[in-house]
Amino acid sequence: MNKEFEKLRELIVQKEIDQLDDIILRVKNIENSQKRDILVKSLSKIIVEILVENINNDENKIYSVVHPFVIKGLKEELNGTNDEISKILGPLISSSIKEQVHKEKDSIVDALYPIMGNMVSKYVTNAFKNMMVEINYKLQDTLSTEIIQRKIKSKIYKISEAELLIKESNFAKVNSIFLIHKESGMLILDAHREDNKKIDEPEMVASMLSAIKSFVNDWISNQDKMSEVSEIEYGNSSILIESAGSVYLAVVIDGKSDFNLQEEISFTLSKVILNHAIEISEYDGDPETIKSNDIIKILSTLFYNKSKNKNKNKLENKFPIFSTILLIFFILTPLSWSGFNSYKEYLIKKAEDSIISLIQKNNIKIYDFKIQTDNKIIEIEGIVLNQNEKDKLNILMLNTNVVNSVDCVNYSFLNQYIKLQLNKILFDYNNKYGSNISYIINNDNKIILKGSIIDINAKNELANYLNKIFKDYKLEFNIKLLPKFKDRIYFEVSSFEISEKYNIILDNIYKLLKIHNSYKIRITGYTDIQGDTLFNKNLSFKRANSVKTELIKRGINKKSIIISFVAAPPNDILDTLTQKNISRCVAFNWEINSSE
Amino acid sequence: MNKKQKKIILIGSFSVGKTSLIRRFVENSFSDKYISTIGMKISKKEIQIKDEILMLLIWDIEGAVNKVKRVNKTYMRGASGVIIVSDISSIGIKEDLILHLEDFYSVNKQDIPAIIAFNKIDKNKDFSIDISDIFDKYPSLLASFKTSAKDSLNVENMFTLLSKEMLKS
Repeated sequence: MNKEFEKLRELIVQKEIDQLDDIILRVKNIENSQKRDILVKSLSKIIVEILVENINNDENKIYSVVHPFVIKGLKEELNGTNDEISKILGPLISSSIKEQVHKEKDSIVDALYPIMGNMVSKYVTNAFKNMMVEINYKLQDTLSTEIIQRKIKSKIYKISEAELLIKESNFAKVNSIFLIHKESGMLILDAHREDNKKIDEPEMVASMLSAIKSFVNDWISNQDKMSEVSEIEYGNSSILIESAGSVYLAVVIDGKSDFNLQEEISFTLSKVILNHAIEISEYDGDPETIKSNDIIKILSTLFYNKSKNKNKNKLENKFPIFSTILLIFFILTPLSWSGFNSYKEYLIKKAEDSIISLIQKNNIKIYDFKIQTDNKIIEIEGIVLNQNEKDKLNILMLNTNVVNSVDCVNYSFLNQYIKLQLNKILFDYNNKYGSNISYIINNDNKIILKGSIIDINAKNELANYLNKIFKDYKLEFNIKLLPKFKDRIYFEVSSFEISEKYNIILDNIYKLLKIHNSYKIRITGYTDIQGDTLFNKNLSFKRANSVKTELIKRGINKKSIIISFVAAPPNDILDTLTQKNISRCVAFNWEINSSE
Repeated sequence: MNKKQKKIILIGSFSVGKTSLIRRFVENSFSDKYISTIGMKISKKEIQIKDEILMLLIWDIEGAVNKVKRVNKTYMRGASGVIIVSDISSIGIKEDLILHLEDFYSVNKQDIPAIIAFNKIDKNKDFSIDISDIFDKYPSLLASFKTSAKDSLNVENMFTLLSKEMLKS
């Protein structure tokens, strides 16, 4: 029944039904599209929630969906020229590595060990191989003097021969040497090992090294520590710095320096200084003023030192060892002794200089400073005025070979000390030169010397001497120079009468006494060698007295005149037998010791 | 190595333009290295004076910040010539100049030639100052130049004059 009805309906209204279906579909579509917009709008609000929900429910599924796109995106970014990703990831990587190392140190070490371990072991193996070659070479050379030396050294220093051998094998190789003017930092000359690449712009190297050295020295001295830049290390290489007064050597080496090399550098520098001291200290940047070839010759010995030793060993093997040693010993002993002494003197001088400069840099004022060196022990002596300076000095000299005998005293002690010294010096001096020099020390600790002296040379001698002794004090010289009485009055045999021709001399003496009226004059009568002593004594008195009378006549106060007489010629008469006529005289001197 | 070397130092207060003057002079320079941590820089420039080639090692010493924090005098030692740089727009120019001259001659010989550079003249072309008393006090003071590193004014002249004078001594 239904079927028939269906068929009937199809026949009658199928077309309309189709049209209706179409209309419905269209309407639905329209509705859907409107709904879609609404849906999108609604969904966009909750899409994050949906994602979170889905991730919570099935994380793997979401990951498997997203993964291919992420990989594809990354590949495209990394293949392109855009370095955005590296910029973003750069800081992240380093910080995450840091964090990882901090957290998982062991696992990082484990991960790197196979690579690093191999690298390190390869490096060490190579180093050992080289060392073994060197040791083998030394062992094969069994009859050399070196092995005997090594055996002795081993016994003396209680170090095994093997250790000595390893030390010998581990020598440093000198690559470049720079001789640099200390004050200006200018390069005097540079020398390089033949097989080594020459360093570009050595002048800049010299200047920069000097700047660094100055900076460090200046800084260290501010820190009150005793030190000087002696080595700059970088990796397996170093720059050894050996300073002298006006120059220093910067030696670039491969390997580790040892005492022997440093000693050798020091010795080489002293050789350069001994032979070329003046030209290098006065270096003003002009290379023509330097005997470069000579100096390079000396410096170059540092490059070839090792190979020289080897050649020497080979030669020695051909001769009987002990006779050769003895021969060399006898030939070289005097030479090496003098060389050793000059080198020793140089080292002592250098050590003393560095102590003095250290004290100066630290502004420590030491009065009557003395420095003495005796068999490697340096002793400093002197006086400081406060305990702080003494303590500072003690700290500076800590861990050195310097014996610090500097005392701390107060001002009054120092004054007493100076006075004692001055009294002694001036007593001897006044006795020697007939002067009357005395001193006062004022409130500023200034030593003022006053008095009179006759001889200008004597005055200079005193000034030089005192300036040297009291170089730490202010000195003022108020010493009056009195004119010397050059003329004498001469007499006939047995006579004490003054000839008229001497009036000019007497007038001049009168004038001088008037000018220097605070000083007295001593008139001394003399005779020749003839005649009776008693008679001569009387005669010499009369001669002096007659001159005194003449001066009093001219207006000189008799208290200003002292007379003395001797029955003999003056001391400056060289030949008393033939110079009798100039022996009979009266001589004049200032009596400054008893002046008022 | 057969060229004569001479050490020139530039001193002056902080930011007066020492480095700029050197950069202007050593333009297209061969070397220009800097050690900021130790407060100084060394530049090298070769110049020809008559038949002679002179290698100038120019030490640019960090400016003193104030009178208390003075520059490290050990850098000044052994100089063959000095340029004292002053900024014309700063105050206390004369006072600063005397301070630097005193510092320099306290560690160097009195006959080392010196030049004063009044720098940054581009800022005030009418600048003038009487420093005759400084010339009287320091007989080795050769000249003063109004310079501008910016406009390249007198920079070359100044270094050339100093170099000639250094060759004489």
